[in-house]
Amino acid sequence: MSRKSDKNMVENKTPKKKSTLVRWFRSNVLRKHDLPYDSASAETIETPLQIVAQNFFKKKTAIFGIVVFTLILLFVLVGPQFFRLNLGEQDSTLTNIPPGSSMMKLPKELRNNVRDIAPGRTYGVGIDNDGHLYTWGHTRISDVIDLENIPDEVQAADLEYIAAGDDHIVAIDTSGKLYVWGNTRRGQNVYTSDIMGAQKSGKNWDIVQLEAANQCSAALDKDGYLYLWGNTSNMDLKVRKAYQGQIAKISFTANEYISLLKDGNVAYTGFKGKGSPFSVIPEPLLQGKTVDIASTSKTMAGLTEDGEIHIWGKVDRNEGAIPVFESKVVKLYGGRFHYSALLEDGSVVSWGGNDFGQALVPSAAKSGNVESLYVGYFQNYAIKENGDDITWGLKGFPLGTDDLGRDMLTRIINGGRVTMLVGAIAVVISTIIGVTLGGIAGYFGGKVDLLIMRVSEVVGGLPFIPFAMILSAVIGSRINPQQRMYLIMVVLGVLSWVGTCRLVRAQFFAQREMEYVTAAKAMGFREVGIIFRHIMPNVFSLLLVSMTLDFATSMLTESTLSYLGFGIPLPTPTWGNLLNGANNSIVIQQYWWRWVFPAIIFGLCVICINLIGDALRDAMDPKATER
Amino acid sequence: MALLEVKDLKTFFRTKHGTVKAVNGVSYAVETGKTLGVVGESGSGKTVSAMSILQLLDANGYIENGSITFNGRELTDLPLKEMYKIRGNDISVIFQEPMTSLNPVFTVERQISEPFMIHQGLSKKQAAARVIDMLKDVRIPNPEVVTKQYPHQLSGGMRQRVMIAMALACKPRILIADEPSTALDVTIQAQILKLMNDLQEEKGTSILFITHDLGVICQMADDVAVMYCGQVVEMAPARTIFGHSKYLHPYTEGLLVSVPRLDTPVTQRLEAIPGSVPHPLRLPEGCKFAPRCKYAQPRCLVEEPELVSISENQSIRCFYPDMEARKDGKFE
Repeated sequence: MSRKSDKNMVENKTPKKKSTLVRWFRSNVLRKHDLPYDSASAETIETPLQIVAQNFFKKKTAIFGIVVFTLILLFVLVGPQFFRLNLGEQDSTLTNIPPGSSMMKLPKELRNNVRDIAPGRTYGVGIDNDGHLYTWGHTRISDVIDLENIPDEVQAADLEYIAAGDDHIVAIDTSGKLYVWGNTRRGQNVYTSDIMGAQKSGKNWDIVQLEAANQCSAALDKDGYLYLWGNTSNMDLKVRKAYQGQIAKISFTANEYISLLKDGNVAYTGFKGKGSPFSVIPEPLLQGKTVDIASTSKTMAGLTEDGEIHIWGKVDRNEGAIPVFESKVVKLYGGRFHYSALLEDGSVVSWGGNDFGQALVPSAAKSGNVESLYVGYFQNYAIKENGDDITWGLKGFPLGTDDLGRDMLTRIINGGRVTMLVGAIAVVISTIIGVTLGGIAGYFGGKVDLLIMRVSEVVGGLPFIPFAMILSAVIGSRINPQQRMYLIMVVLGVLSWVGTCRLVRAQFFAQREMEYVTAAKAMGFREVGIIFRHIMPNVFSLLLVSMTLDFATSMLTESTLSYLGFGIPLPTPTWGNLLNGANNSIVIQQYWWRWVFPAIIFGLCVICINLIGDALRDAMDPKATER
Repeated sequence: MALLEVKDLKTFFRTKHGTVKAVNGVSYAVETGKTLGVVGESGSGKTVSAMSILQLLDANGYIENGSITFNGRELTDLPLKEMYKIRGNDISVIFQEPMTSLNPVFTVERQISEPFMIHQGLSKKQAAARVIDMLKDVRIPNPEVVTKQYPHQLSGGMRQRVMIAMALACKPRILIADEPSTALDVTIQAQILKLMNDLQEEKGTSILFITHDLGVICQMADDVAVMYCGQVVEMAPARTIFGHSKYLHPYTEGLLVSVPRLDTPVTQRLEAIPGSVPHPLRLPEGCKFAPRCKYAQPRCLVEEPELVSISENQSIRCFYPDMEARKDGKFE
């Protein structure tokens, strides 16, 4: 053979490359051999595995299944590295947000034309230099209220300041007229008599600061008079008479506010002062040298004239980790969990809670020339001297959030990992039990077989879901969530080996009658060796198919249990737990993203596993393809 | 003393309908370096008697009585642990179906190297090297290629060669060949038989050759045991049976006549033994062959004949062993 081809090469040199290529193609891709007993082709002999693989990849559905499943698997295995799960995570301001990424998308009308910006909970509002109002982001705060529906009078007015609360917007125009729209059911638009009087008379009504928070608002007069209105039930929404006329700036936290007085001191000007952790103001801020204040939902911060920042309150989100500044801090801003500071050199520094990148300042804002900064909730808007805008923080949630404000994407990725892990371990457990018992029953037959089969019938006869529910109700309450996860794996595995056991037993019955088993015995092989080394490889192909299909079934069963609330306990996400929220019509109708996305990925995953299993079965049994 | 001696062996099977006496008092012996041919129809107990030697019976089968001595060692009551050491090492078996007696998921190399590994404790590498030698011994072309192949990639003859290589791997003293050529076509059959003869000459292995084909027996065997219904009906050297002996069991005679020959005239009908083998649970009284025997006398239907020595090395289980006499109707 080799001599012949040498001769060919000598005779016509040009087709040499082609012929080796063709030969390579024939032997490696088509797996055809010119001479089957040519000694050189020894390595290209087809093993059964190669044949199965060839048959497998002939099917388009199989390729689809394996590609999509591999993608989902990678997504679920690698994903948690990037989308870290925080089991304690929840945020009342971020509940039930639909998929989107437009929360910081400044409208083009506002480009180079910003008079004021107010970052809201999941939206933004801004006024351009002509006093026109624009909104962006997720403005639909309930199924009837949409902040985008700006009242006509507001659209006509020449607005000066704007403030955004959790579910309402406050604006004031150049003539001093107040506007409130959005959710007004909690008295967000009910002005006190002070405000009415001041607005009418114009006395002490030269507003310099407008603030809005959870269902309440504040307006501050140039002469230090503070006006507060809105829902007072969850807020210390009062001001001590003694401080009126002295207030220079206020800042809202979740349940209270603090004030910077005109004399450079910080004061708790509300009524709940004594005993509240916020009333214990750091000493340096009481020396008449405070120039700015800011607050997050649970902490407060003050800036002294020499650029030092002091933070107090319930510091649990890294708010206290004040970075070292390269130049002097001139202004301080607070979001929901983070602070941003504008420095003398025009650069911005952010720190504190960084769940959505709100403390991650882009290099464009670090480099300086920032003229004004607007910070609120999870967003930062920096406007440079040349009018460019830079934003960082929460853009939106690609798959929305659930009823506790948790990111669905993170929960789907992490939930998939749990579901697949539970499914895989359950299958491993059930396969080990099924193969061992089935192998013993099938090889030895007789009384052993009788006993094992009766046991398997008892186990197979147990009503699975009620049994698992009772088990997890009885044992589940006494153990921690981690142990309960293991319990579910074991319960699934221990109750689902019957099918595998029967399959293996039947295969063993068929195989042990084959002559090769007698031949193996005649060669002097021991029984255990024959079972596991000689018969098992012959059963393995079917076992692989059954394991694949069982994997899908185990995942489905785990999800059924979790959906019913008896599986893996919340807050650990699983694909079944995610669907658990979708058991009422409100969720199904209004918050479609909470069940559509988990259902799609779970459905796709199970279908793909089944496609792979079916294709494997067909590939291993060539007769099946003739159907 | 013979290398392997089977004496008065009774192997029975328990079934729902009663005890099947598959082997009922069989005795034969295999001499060192010689071949004993065991002939008989299906169900005559030839395979069961051979399987009894290695205790390879089905779960419901058991040795009721008798002794099997190999090299002076009693095998019938040998514990399984000891039996493992004899199987494949001292006595090995070649089966009828080369298609199914090789494990379909193992390569040839693995099939043949396993006996080396378990009986001689060789490593995988050492065993693989021996495999090539074995394949050369059984005249397989390109052993380096074949060793990596799977059974389904080999032809029937090649598989049987692999099977023989596997059986001879540990140089057994005795080779039990259970119809090794039956499933092969005639040319391959001839090759395999020649191979076995050659190997016997080379290695001096004794062979217990089981077949229903008298032509094969004629070619292979030194001695012949003819079995019928679990009994040996005739025991003689091959030369005696295939030569023109004066004495022959009517069953052996029937078997010989029913073989087609090239020299028989075209017009002559091929003779056949009438009827079929009786059901193992409803064996006739008296001589088991009597219902099908064309010479049967009233005495044959009532009384069972013993295996009687006719000459020095020929024994026949018949009241009328003289061929000429019974043909002429002389029954005394």
